[in-house]
Amino acid sequence: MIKPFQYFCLFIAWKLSHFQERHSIPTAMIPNGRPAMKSLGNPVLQFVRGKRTKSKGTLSPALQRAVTQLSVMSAGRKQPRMLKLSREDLVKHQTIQNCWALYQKELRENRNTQLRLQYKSTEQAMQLLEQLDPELFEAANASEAGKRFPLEMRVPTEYPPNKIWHYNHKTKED
Amino acid sequence: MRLQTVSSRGLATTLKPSGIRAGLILSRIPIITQDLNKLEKQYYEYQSELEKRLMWTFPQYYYFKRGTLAEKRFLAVQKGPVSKQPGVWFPQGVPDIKHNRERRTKQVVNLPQHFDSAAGDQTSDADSVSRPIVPNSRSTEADQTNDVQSLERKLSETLYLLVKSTEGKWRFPSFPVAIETESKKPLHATAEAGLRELGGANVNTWTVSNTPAGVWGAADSAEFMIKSHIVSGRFDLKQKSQYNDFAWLTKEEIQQRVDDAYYRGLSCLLAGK
Amino acid sequence: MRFLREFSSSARTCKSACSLVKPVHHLVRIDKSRLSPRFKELQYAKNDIRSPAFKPVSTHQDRLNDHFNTTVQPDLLLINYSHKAETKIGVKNREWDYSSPYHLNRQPRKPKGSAVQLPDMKPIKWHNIPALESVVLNCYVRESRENQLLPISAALQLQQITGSKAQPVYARTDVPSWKVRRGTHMGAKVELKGRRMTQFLSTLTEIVLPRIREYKGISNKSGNRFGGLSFGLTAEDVKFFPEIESNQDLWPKTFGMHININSSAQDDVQARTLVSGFGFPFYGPEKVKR
Repeated sequence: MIKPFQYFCLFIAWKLSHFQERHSIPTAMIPNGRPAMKSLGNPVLQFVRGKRTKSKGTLSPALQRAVTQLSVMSAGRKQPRMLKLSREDLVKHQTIQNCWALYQKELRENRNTQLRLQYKSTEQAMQLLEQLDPELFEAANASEAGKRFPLEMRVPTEYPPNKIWHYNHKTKED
Repeated sequence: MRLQTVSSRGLATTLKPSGIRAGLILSRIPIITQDLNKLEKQYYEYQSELEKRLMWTFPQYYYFKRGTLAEKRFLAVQKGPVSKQPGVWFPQGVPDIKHNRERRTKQVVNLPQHFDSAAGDQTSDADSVSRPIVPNSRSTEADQTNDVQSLERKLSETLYLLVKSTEGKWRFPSFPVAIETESKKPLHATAEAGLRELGGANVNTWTVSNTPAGVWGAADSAEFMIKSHIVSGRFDLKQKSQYNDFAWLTKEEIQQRVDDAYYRGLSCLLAGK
Repeated sequence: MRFLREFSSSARTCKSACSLVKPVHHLVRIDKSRLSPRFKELQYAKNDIRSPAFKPVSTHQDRLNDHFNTTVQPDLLLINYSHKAETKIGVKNREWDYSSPYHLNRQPRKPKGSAVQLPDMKPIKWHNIPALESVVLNCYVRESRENQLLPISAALQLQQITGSKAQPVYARTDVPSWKVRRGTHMGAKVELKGRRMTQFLSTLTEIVLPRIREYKGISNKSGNRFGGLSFGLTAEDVKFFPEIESNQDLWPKTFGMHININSSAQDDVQARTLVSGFGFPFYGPEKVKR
């Protein structure tokens, strides 16, 4: 498999041997992500003397694909202008963010309180069960390692499925 | 206490009415996402508009190669930006365009529609892959008729099974625990068996844990609540001597039907507002 | 003329004073970039709208997280409940008994029966219920030894699948038998948190994994002992992602990857129970420590 650096060398050598107008890899197509190019083995950037032509098809399809992919991943020429908020707009934005943070904190606190109450409730139940019936308590306190949620309990979706509820389930005949 | 010492002596016990009961909190988990309140809707809208404004330009050159038919169709649906020209006065400011995108605003990318509405009548609409996507409605007929016995009501909330005793009290179903040492079953097994007896064999459930989630009452009449989820099937109340009605209700509706002390004791175990 | 040969130049100064300025700048780490008046926009926090790095976080409802909070979390609390459970202290490094003077300042011995010291297993209560923390995708392309264009494609694949920027992965060591040289660009990785993570897990469980032929699930043996699970996708499985499936001609070559799910679970068993709540099937015999 030919290495890209060798390929570049070959390409440059071919150009030199023909004494033709030297092409440079169009700067528009090279993204700012220079590190990737470094790993290709320091390609020589040809600076054009005289007429600068926009070269199309000087790279092999594989190289062109790689350059396009790098360009998609890099931010060069793709970032919109930064937001310049006025004083009033900034205050409005900060108010919105603070409001949301407060609301989320409230929800989180309610959730935590609920979970704490559930834990206390279970603790109370197990304490009572231990006193009343040790056998049932042992069964209730048994380890449940290897417990799996059933696949039929799906993560809720935005819209319901075509068949909302399955009323007839087939019991697996073991 | 007497029961405890008798069983520890290992003697066969006579059938005594045991105080311990296994209660069942059977729930149907939500099928669709939660309804958003006004604050959440507005906040998410604001944040998504911000995201669209700050998003990188769509790399059209990667998805639609120059000169292809797909590119032509794509560009035909797009509204191009107003390009900068010398000697022209732009009342909304001089355009700043890179990769065919006005950098001062959000980019609107329109996708070409694949379904041909012109010749659609001939082809079978039901199975055609290019038919338009129409999501199902979030409210069902059970919602319209407010059928409390249906499992398809209130899809965005958790529903709990409540049964009405002959005295007219709405409670979670509860079953007595057998105390004969040979046929003694753990709490969750009692609850499951009792449910099948009460609602028919067509109920497919998954017990969360053998550990009870809570307890109602104390000492003699202790009811240990076992949590369980209904996964598929239907609860058909077999006319028993104990209960004569059932309903699938949300947490708020349970509060309305059940007496206060019972609700206060068990509401922390229910998921809902 | 007396010629004094002095070996120390400080004798000439005859200093009798000392500095009253405390050399805080030698002891406290100061980020000099924060003190400069240039580039005011870079001084803001990343989540401040005036910073160029600002990115909105909660742009839509996170349905997996809502499902976790409503259903999975309370159920996990109940499943992992153990009455009057105490913290099981993991094996720790052993101190020397100072019977010899050489024991002073000697580093502690490794614990008995283990190469490293293990964390304590605390009982699961309302504040430490296992939850998903992050998902790491690791894509190592062996053919990059010969073709340096492949890791670029792998990085783009990860970016398309996840919506996050992928980091490059370089070979860490030289392995002559595998023809791997240190420092070669070999692939890409990406760490997902928050909405990106839940979105990725949703696409996996709802679209990609159901389409894999004879898919059995995550192995019950997988686990890093402290709450992380791993499984892989082959290059063919990756083709089922909608981003790749709709542009088949752009992807003549796809790359398989390792997917690591990190959670705040304390051991394998808790991690598997947690992950099964999000729609992942499991297969195989499970080894349960007594």
